[in-house]
Amino acid sequence: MNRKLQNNLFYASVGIAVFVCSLILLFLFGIIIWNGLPALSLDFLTNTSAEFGASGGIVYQIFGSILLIIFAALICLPIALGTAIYKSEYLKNDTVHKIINTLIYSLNGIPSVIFGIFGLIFFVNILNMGISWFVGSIILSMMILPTVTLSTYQSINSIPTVYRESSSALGLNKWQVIVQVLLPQGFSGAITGLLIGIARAIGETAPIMFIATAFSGVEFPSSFLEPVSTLPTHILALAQQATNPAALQNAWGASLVLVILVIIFSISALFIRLRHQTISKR
Amino acid sequence: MAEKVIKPNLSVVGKNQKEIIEIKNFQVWINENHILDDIQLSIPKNEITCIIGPSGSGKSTLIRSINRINDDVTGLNTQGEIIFNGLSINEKDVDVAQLRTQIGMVFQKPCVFPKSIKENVLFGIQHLKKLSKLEKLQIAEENLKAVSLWKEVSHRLNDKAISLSIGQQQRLCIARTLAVKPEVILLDEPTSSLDPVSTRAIEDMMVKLKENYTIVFVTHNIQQAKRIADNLVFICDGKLIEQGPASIIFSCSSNPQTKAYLRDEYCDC
Amino acid sequence: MLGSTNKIGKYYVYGSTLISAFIVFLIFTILLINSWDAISIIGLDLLSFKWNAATGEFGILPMLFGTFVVTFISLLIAVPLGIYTAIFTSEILPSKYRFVVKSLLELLAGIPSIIFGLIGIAFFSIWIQDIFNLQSGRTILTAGILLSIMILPTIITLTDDAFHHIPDKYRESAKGLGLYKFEIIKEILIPIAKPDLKAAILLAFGRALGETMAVMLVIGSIDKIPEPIYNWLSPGQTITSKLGREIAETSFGSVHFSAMIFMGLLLFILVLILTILSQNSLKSSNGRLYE
Repeated sequence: MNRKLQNNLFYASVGIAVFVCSLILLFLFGIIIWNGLPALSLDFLTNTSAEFGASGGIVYQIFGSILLIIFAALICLPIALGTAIYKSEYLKNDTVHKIINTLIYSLNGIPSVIFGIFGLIFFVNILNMGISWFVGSIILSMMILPTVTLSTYQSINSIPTVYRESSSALGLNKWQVIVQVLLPQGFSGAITGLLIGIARAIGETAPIMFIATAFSGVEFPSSFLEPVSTLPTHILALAQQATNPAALQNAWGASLVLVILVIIFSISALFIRLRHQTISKR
Repeated sequence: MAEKVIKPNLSVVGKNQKEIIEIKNFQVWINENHILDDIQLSIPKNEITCIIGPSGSGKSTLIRSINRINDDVTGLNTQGEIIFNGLSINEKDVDVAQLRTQIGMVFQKPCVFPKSIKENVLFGIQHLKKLSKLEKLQIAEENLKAVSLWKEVSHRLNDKAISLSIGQQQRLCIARTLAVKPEVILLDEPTSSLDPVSTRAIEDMMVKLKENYTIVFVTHNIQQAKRIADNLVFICDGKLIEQGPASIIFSCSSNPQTKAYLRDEYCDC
Repeated sequence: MLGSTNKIGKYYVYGSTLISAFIVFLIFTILLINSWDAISIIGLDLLSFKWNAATGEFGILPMLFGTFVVTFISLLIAVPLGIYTAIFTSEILPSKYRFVVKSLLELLAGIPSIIFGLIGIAFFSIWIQDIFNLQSGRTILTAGILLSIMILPTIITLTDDAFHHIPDKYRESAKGLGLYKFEIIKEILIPIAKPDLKAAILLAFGRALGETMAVMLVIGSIDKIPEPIYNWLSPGQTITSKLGREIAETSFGSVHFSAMIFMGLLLFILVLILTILSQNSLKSSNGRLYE
């Protein structure tokens, strides 16, 4: 029974692959939790760092990361909404649609380090804004723009045409239909996209490490044009002094905090998406 | 429980014919739903057995159990036995792939693979044995002739199968099943998505094929069953109501439920 | 009054779309202008083997080599592993567990790359160092292995989707002909899913080319092609690790800076081509965004 043997061999290879993948998954999460938990404490979360991060806490880093993503979201949202509305409600030409889609996909595919060097040249040097957290927010907003745009587009585009027609029949003009009928529904898509985008942006290092952050000597910024410190760049700095066990310990602690933040944003996105699905099914 | 089911009158059918499939006390649940309840059924060799019944009555589930294509349905549980050529097919050590080469199946909607017409005919058989180029051509011709498709496609065997009409595709699917040379062919409402002409072509084909194959044919079309069935099985709400030779059931069924269904295509069981 | 909000709204959405579309061009133009010095002053010498900023030698071949070898290793590991695992999740695992698997994969994909870098430094490089008895475990192979884990969720989840989109009728018809599962997968499902699988691999390829932080921390950062060329247990350099390590210390406007940006431009173009190819390969480009 040669075929049967082949079939069993195939099952065996699938089994091995699944085993290896499960092992990797367990290892990664195990390592992050196992090494991160001992470093975690209230002091760690609320104190400022000292001795180049080897002791003290990460309160500035948490603050810096959140500041960056909040402004990234604020910058991104209006542009993403506008683009999504244009794609769904104004654009009729297929070729133009394809071109815009290609541009959005391309933007999504650009490696993060390229965003970093682009920000370094354009904002820091040409526009002379210096190394500042606001430049970081602008760059991160560019990175998450495709995700937010497409997520919003999908939810606006999935609203049945009959909504548009029946509200136009009541005498609403196009913009009123958009604002009063489509946007309230499309908003959940935008928020889902934003949360997914933020979950990705908060962990990014390469785009912000040249342009928005400094390692030591940062405090709460008092203007738009000051550097901050963030969790990922802090982990980078600590990882580079890997020979110092105390620094490494704090790197694991910061990593766990970062992963928890990422998970919170991902789960909120999932939650909103699921809730919206059940509502629209009713 | 079992006593409540009206026992089929097997004494007339069963005696002088060889049964190829015996279904005994067969029950099926999907999750909490009792789909089939205590089915007793025998399928004679080289005849056409039609399973009729309203939609949702479980006739599809029954036919799909005979070659265990239902295995992967989530939440499915079975009880009882299906015996094929003396072998109980629900045993754990049965090689289902092997079983399905002996009990082939044609589905409601034609499903051709994204390959050429010839490759589609040969798709099953070439896994079972090595074929030379000549043998391949012979098998393709033989089976396409059997489903009277040969004239229409002989000049374009290498075209994509998807270019055929739906009726032709369904006949190709039957040819593909024939090529494997099964003993039994299960057909699950094979004409329900076809036009009247293709439907007739497939019905005529069935009558020819029963010389070499045992055919189990699920349909909700009573007229169709009248045209082709040797044996009739009537299932309603998961229960087997009546089975027997088609001529007898159509002319003088004694069961009120069967009568009502044959007359009105409606039954309230 | 009503008409004017309508008009303002129209300008707003046109403006937003222009901005969205403009960003890619802006990035490309900025990279091109800033790498112009390198192209005109260094010219073909960019395609040489020696990079030494002090002597004004800017050969980018070591970085190109590193980039492709690291990516090659990662695909070599992740593609078979990922496809086999996806076959399990889509074809063998009961579909009620699919949600759990998908969530786990999303979690795995969500781990920031800097954390992979940390894990790479703390574990992988040490393992490699011990297993192969090296002076330093920061090698091309280490980076490749680490990268393979990072692109694994992308490959699994896209392959799983590709299989999942194939209607069940194909599986049932093939089963009805007496085929074994491996035959159904090999001869029906994989050919049907091929464009999607291609897209998945191209996308993972692009991801791997552009990955920076993790690679930068474990590759050893030596601007040389190893000797012999297949000795992947020696340190190397990729375009991304070079940019990550050096760009901040390079003075803006210098030839050195320009040569660095030229590598960035190359990377940008490569990844752009891969992204466009992979999106074209998706039959149903129904607005799904693959990330």
